[in-house]
Amino acid sequence: MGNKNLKKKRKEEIARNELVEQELKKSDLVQKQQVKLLILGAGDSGKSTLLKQMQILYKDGFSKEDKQLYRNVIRTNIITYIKILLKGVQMLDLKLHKSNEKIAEDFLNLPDIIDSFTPNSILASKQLWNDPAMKMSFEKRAQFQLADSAGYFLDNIDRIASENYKPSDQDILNCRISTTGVKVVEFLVNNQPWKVVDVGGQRSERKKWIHHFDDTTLLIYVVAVNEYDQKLFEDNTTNRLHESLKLFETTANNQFLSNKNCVILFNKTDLFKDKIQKVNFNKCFEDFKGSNNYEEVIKFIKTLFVKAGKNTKRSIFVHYSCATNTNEIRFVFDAVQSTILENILKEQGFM
Amino acid sequence: MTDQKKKEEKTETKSEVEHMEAPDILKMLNLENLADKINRRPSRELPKGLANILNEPKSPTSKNPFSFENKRVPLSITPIDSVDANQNQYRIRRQSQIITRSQIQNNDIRNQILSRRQSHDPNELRSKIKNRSPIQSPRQNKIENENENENVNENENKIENEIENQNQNENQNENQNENENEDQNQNQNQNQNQNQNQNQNQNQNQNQNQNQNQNQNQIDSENDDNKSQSKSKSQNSSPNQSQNQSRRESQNQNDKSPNPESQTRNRTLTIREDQKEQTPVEMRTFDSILEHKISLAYFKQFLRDEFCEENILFWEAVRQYQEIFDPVEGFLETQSPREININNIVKKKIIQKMEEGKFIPDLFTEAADLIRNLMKTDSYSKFAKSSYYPQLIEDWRRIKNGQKPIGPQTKKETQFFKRFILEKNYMDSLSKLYDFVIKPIQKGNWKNHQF
Repeated sequence: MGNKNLKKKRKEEIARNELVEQELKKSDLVQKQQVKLLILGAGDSGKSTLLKQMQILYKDGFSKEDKQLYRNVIRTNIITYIKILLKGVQMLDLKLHKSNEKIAEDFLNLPDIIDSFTPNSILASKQLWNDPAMKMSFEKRAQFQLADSAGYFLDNIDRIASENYKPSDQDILNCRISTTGVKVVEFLVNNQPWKVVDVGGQRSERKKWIHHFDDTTLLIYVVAVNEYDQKLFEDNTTNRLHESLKLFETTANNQFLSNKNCVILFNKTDLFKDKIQKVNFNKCFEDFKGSNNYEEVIKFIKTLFVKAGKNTKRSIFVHYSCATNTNEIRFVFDAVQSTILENILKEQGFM
Repeated sequence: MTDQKKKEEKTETKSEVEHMEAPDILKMLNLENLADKINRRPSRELPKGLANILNEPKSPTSKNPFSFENKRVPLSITPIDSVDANQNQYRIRRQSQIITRSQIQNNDIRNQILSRRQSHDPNELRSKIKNRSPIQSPRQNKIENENENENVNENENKIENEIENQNQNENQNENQNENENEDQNQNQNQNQNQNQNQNQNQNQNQNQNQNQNQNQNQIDSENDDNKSQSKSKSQNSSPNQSQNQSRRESQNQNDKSPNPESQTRNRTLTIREDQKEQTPVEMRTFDSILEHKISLAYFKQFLRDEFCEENILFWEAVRQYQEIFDPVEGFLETQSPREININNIVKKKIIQKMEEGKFIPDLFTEAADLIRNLMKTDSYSKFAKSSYYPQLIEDWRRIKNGQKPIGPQTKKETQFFKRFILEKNYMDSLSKLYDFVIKPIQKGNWKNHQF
């Protein structure tokens, strides 16, 4: 009796094993076909904007619900920007116009939450922004933490304050929402399934990246070039570009990613062009001894990053872009497609 | 020539020693504790003040169903066939450092009995198998004891009692898991089936290893002293546990009945009968009752009936409050795995007030607002688009119609990588992971490799 039962069990086990192996083979096939892009980088470098661009390029764009959410976020962002600027005014001992002093007090008492927005507050912020003292503190914004998109939104404050305001694609691309955790989005690019991984960039978020290090095809590392005179959001002492370089060194030379091809995207070049005329690059890197040109400085940064990630097993591609510009990003992703094709051909043995 | 040979021998031994040290480094990472943290609720330590008050003798270490000794974790990376008897000593010493004394004793005893029974009496084995069936009747126990009294010495009777205790504990563990599943409601059925599949696969692997280990033991007993024998048997802990797993499987398969709910009821009943006879070791101390989730829930309910629930509520609140400042698992420390993503300025404010001793109730409200805002802007919009959201709405309707909710059905994630998340310096742990786990897979040694 016992033997028969055992035999039955064996048969069941064998059948189950076959089933499992078949499923494994299937999943292997799917994985081989799928392209996986990792978008990494330090905080506030523009990783999520890349993902938004892909939403525009390869999907339908933004839905109505998305737009409503962004509208609220943009308006509350403006209030936080004004608050930060007001604190800057206090820090720099500047003086506001007498009529604006009372409004400023009310503003500083507002909490930083999305629900705190009211239509009156946006009008008040419009009035404050026209004060010359605020513009002075805006020019010295490197001393405190102000998002890069602040300038864009404060310039367009008339449009945003209007009642029928609907955010355009450009507004949404400029809007900053700091991401937490890891987000995976799937796209169909030229009938090829792409899996794009977007992550949060702050120090506390980097622990979660490891989830998606296995079987990546391409690593896209985003560097915000304009932040060479800014300090970190997390500890307010280390230079942002230094941090970004260090991060690239540790992640790109990691055993999981050391033999993967890599695209370095130098982002926010438009803001960089403005800044390089005002702030000397020598402050950030003392080794730099060229003239304070856009081209020379960016060459220097490029050599630093390429040297940090150089490896015999892989090739590094460099692109310069402004992530909010859709045409530039389209060009970048075309290049990315060609590199992925190269990868596949190499694996098959054609090259 | 002789010198060269010596050199060659030295290099060989060196490389082997390096190979032997691989599991040790994995243990240095404290991965066993990590597995607990991930798979169970984080085992909270008592706050310092309370620990002194409640400092009762601790219960023997409970067996985790998720511990690395049980399942697919590379404790020994070297293929067992290639290891000589002398080197075995080396490894055995290393492993014995981890296994506690009580475990060693129990395992020794168990091995002795098992080996004797397999050699002598098949009747006893059968009675033992009956005993393992899910519904344990006291009669059967008595009969078995009588039989054993005839055959076996008095010493072994004590030993067997211990083993039975252990079995009961294991049953209890099962029930804990089940109760938790009951909270999650109907998910349990699917989960159980999945677990069965997994267990069966693992057993196939572990049975092979068991045979190999037995062979090793024979070699050891021929060569070495009695002391080394005892140690070598401590090494056998994993195959023993695999046997236990097989017992559980047999239980599961016996229990398969058309109504899944009747399953759980039967099992809970059996354990209550057992508890009448003897309280399990884990539930004896007050400390351990506070430690486990289920016992705490029961204790809370009891206090609610006695109208003194506020005590345990306060104690829990204090424990949660202290968790925030915990340097290992806290939310504010920069090295902790649960560090939150907040502004530098806010964090500095909190730390300053803490250092000044101003523990006002508003200490964390600003940080909490920031985190709430972050969840609302980023995570909530993603959640609304995810597959969970329609599930939620369905469940909501079910509740309104008076039905039981299904609960969130979790996605299958790569649990292998999940273990390494909570490492402090994860970049360092990555390299170690690569050296000791992924390299051997790429070389093709994965068949000898336990995960």
